[in-house]
Amino acid sequence: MNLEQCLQAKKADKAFMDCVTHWERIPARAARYADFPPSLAAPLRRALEKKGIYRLYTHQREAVEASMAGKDVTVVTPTASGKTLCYTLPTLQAVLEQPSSRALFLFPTKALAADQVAELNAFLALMGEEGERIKAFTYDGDTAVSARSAVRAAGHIVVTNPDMLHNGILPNHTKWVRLFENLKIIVIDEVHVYRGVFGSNMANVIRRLLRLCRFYGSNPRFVCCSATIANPAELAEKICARPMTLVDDNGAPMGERQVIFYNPPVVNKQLGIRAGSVNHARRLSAELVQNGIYTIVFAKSRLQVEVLTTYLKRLVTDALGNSDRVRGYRGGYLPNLRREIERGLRDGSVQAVVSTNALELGIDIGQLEACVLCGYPGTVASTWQQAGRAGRRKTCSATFVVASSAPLDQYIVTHPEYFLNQSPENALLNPDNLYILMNHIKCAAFELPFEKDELFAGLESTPDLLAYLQEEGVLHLVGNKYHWMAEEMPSTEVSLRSAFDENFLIIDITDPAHHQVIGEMDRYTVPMLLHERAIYLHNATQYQVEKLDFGDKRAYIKRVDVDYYTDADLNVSLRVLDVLKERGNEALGEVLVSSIVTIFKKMKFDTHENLGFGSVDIPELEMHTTAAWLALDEPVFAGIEKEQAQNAMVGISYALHTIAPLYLMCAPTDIHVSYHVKDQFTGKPTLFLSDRVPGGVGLSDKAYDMLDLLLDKVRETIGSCPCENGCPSCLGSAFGAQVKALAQTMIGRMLDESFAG
Amino acid sequence: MSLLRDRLKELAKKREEASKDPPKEAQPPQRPSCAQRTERFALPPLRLQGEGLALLGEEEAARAYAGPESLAFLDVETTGLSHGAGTVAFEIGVGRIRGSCMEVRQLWMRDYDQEEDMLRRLAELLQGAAVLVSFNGKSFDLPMLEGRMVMNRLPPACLHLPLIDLLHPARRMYKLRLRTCTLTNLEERVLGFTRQDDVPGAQIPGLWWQFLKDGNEEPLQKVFEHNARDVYSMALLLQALHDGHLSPLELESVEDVYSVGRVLERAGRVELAESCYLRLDGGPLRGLSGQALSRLYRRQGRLEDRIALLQGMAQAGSGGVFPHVELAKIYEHKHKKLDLALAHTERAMFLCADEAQMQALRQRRARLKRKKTALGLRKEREGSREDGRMEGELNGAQGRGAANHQER
Repeated sequence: MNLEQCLQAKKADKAFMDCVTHWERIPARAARYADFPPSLAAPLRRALEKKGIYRLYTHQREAVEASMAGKDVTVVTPTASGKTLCYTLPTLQAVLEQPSSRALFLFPTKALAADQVAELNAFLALMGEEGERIKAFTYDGDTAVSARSAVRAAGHIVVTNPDMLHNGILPNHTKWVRLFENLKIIVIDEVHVYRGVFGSNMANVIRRLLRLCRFYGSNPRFVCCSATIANPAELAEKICARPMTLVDDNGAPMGERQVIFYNPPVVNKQLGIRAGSVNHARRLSAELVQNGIYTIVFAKSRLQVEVLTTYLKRLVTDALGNSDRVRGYRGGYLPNLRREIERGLRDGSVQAVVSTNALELGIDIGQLEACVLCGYPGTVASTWQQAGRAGRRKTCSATFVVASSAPLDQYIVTHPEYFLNQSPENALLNPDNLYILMNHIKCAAFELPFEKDELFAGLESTPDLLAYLQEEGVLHLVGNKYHWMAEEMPSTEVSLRSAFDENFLIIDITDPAHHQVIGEMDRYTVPMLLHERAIYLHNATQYQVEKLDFGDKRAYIKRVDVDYYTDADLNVSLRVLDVLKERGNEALGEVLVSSIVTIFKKMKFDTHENLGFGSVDIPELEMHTTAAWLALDEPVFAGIEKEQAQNAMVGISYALHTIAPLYLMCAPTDIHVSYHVKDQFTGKPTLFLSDRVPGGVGLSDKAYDMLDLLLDKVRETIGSCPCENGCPSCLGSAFGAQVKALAQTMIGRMLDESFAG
Repeated sequence: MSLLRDRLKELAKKREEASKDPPKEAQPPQRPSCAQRTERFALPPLRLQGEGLALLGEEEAARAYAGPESLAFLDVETTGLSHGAGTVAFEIGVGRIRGSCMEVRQLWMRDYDQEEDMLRRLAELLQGAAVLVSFNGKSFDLPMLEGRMVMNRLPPACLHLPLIDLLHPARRMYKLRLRTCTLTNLEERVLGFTRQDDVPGAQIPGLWWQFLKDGNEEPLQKVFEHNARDVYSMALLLQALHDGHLSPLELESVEDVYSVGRVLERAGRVELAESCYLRLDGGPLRGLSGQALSRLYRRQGRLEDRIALLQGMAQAGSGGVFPHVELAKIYEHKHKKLDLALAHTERAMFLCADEAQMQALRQRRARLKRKKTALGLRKEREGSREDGRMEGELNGAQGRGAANHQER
C-alpha cells in the first residue's frame, strides 16, 4: 500500500479511529514562479539550467534581488523551499563581478557547514570555467593546520561556525586581511537557533566582526535564513544590528499534508492509565515501514530512539541479517556514521530513521513521506519543524502526533485547535546582557584597542565598562586608547553555548585486541546512560557498560544480548550557599545545583515491565550558579487545602518559567524554576529562579530586580487566559477546578506581603 | 561577579563627578617616540658561502646574500605566546655585523602608544639588509610583526626579505643528538657556553607589565640582555650550521655527521653524503648509516655495492632485520635465488619484533614456498649446488644473530 491507501485503511479501522482526536488536512499548495532576475550573471544561469532550473520560486527571486540591490535580507524558509539559492546566487554574483570579493557563511554546526561546501562545490562545477576560479572552503576545528593558510589566502567563500569565528578568526584577524578587506556578504543560516544566551553571545560576535570590518574598510551585507518562528526579522535585526528586508512569502509547492492527533487508549479505567506512547508509536511506524513508506520517527530521548530502532529493525531484518534499512540517529554517534545515515536517507537506501531532535536542524536528508512524533515535542515551532521533515512537493504526506500520558501531551491531543491556531514561539535574546557584553568587550579589546570615546555597538555604557576593565587591570589606557594587558587570549575563556562541553568517549572492548571508539557523550548525559551495568544501546546494538572511568572520561562497553534495557532516574536539587542581597522575603544569592543518578531500573523489551533495580555510584554533577528566590509565609496559604495549594504552586512555577524569559529576554532553557515545599535554607515554602549557565549570566540578578513585576505578569497571564481550568499556555500541567482562581489569589497575597515587607 | 552592576554604577558616578572638574588644558597631539639601546659583541669574522647557506634550506636567501653586513638578525620579546591580535611585541632586537663586532640595536616601547614609532624605526634598522636571520621567526616573530604593522596601518614591506630561520636547519642537524633544539640547549651543547643569570622567557611579559605600572626600568635590563644574547647567539649558530653542512666530516658527533648526511643526500650532494655514511661504518651508528647507504646505492643502481654492504651488515649483525629483508628481496626478484631468499626471510623472522613486519615476512615466506614448488623438480635439483654457497654466507650471520639474541 502506498501512503494514501494506508491512510484510507486507517480511516476505516475503528479501533484506530477511536484513538484519533483530530484529523487535520492541509491542502496542497501550487508553486509560484518568477523569471531569473535580469542582472543574473550568465555562468549562474547556465549552472541553474544544467540543474534543470529555468525559473526561480517567487520568494527566491525576491530574496536574490533584494540582496543584489545591497539590502540586508532575512528569508523565512520552511524545509524544502530551496533556501540555498537565496544566498548562493547573490554571493556568487558578487564574486563574478569582482573576483577579490569574499563571503563568510555561518552555520551552527560543523556538519551543516560540511554539507554546504559539498553543495557549493557541486554548483561551482556546473558553472564551468568561471566556477573553477571560485574557491569555497570550510574553516573549523576539522580543517588541517597545513590547509589553513590556503583557506585564509584563497578562499572566496569561507564556511564556518560561530565558535570558530569567535575563537579562531576574529582574534587572529591580522592573518585574514584579505577576507576582512573584501568582505561583501555574511550569511547566517538557521538564525532561529540563536536565541537566549547562545543568541546573545552570537549577536556580540557579529558586533565584533562588524567592528573589525570597519577597521579594514569593508561594509558587508547580510542574508539570514530562519525556520518559521514568530519574529524572524526582529531576531535577525537583533543579531545583525541592522534593519532587515523580510522575505516570507514562500513560493515553493507543497503536496497535501495530513496531521493526525492520536491518543493511545485507556487501559485502566479506574486509574485512568493510558497505554504507552512508545508502544503505539512503534505499532504505527511498523505499519508504515512494512508498507515501504519512507518514514521518520522523532523520539524525545536518546534511550527512546534506541528502543524504537531496535523494534523497527526487527521488521526489516532479511535472511542475511541486514537491517540497515532502518537506522537510529542521535547525538553521540560519530560524524562518519551520521553522514552515512544522511546519505542513505537522501538516496533512498535507508527507508526509516528514528531520531532525537538532532535531525530537526536543516541537515539535508531529502523529503520523507510520513512522520511519527512519539510525544509532543514541547513547542509549536519544533513540532512544525519536525513535521516538516515529511512533506513532498507533489505527493501527499502525513504526520502522526502520538501523545504520551504527560499532562502537556494530553492537553494538546485533546485540544488540537489550541496547537493548530497557536502562532510559533518568539525567539528572544539580549545582546546587552551585562555579563555577556562584558565578556565580548574583553574579546573586542584584545582584537583591536578601544578608542577612549568609542562606543561598542553604539552602547552608551561602553566607557564605564572599559573603565571597569581598566580598574581590574585587564586593560591599560594610554594615549586615548585602551590596550589589552594580559597574556592569555580572552576568547578561549568564553564559550558561546551554555552546554557542558567535556565529552566522554565510548569504547567498545568486545574484541580485547581491538578496542574501538564508537561514540561520545556529554558529561551531563553520561550518568544516565553510561553508568556501570547500564545496557547501552547504540544503533540498536546492545552493550553493557563494563567500566566508567570518570577521571579519563571513558566508558568501556561490551556487546551483550539481553531482553531488557535500563533506565536511570535523575535527581536534581538546588541548595542555597550564600545570600548576596535581600529585601524582605526576596533574595538573590549563590546556589549549588546538583544532579545525581542513584538507581536504575531494568525494563523488559516489548512489555516494558520492571525487572528490578540496581544502584549507581557516580559523583554528583555540581554547578554553581546564581538564583533569585521568594520565601512564602503562612498567610499566602491561609484557608487553602494543602494539595490544592501545591497544585497551584506547580502551575505558578510553570507560568513563571514561560513568562520570565519575555522580560529577561532569554530562552526558557536558559533559566530553571523550581518550587521547594519547605526549603532547608529559608525554612519556608520557596520559589526559585536560577541561571542555567554555570556561574550565571545575570538573568537571576535581573529577575531579582523585577520579581514583583514578574509575579504580577504571571497573575495577569493566568487571569486573561480564556481556558476554564488551566491549560499549557498558562499553568502547564496543573489543571483542575479553582486552580486558576487560587493561583491568582496566592500571587496577590505574595505581592501584598512583599509590599508590606 | 554578581554585583558587577553595582560596581559599574559607582564607576559611572565617579566619572560624572570627575567631569564636573574644569577640563584640563588639551595637550597638542604628539607622536610619542620609543626608547632605544645598543649592545656590541666582539664576533669572530663570519665566513659564509652561498653554497653553505643554500644547504640550510634557504636558496632564496643564499642568492640574496652579499656579505656579512647584508645580514640582519632579528628577535622580538612579546606580551604572550598566543598569536592573537592582542599580543604585542614590546621589544625588537636587530643585530647587524659591523666589522669585527655585532651591533645589536634594540627598540622598545615604554607604553603601547610608542608602538607605531617603534615599528617605523624598525624599517630604518633593516635598511641595507638583504637577508633576515631568525630563530623560529617563520612562525612566530615575523607573523607577529606583520600583524602589528597591519594593526598600525603601516606597510609591512620592510619585512619581506628572504629569511633564514635557524630553527629548522638546527633541528635537522642536531635533533638526533639533542632531542630538544631550544636556543639555550643549542648554546650549551653546540656553541659551548652557558648563560649566567638569564631571565626565563615565561617571566618576560610580567616584567614589562610591572614596568608599565611602576615605571622602574631596572628589572627590564635583564630582558634586554636576554634578547641581545639571543641575537648574538644566532650569528654563532649560523656559522656552526653553515660549517657543519659544508664540512661534515670534521664534525665530532657521529649523530651530527649522520644527520648532515641525510640533509646532503636530500639536497642531491650524494658523494659527500656517501662519505658521511661511510665515516660511520663500524661505529655505534653503523646500523642506521648502513640503511641510509643501502637506500643511496639502490637509487644509484649500484646493485653490487649494495649487496656487498648488506652482506657485510648481515654478517656483522648490524641493522637488525633490515639487511636480511633487503637481501631477501634482491635474491627473490633480481637474482631469482629462491632458497637464499627464503633463508634470509626466515632469518629476518627470527630477529623480527614488530607484528606488522612479521605479517609481511610470513607472506613473503609463503610466496617463496609457492614459487619454489611451482619451479618444480628441475630447480630443486639445481638447488643442491646453490645450497653449499648459501651455507657459507649464512653461517656467520647466524652466529652473530644468536649472540645478539643472548645479549638482549
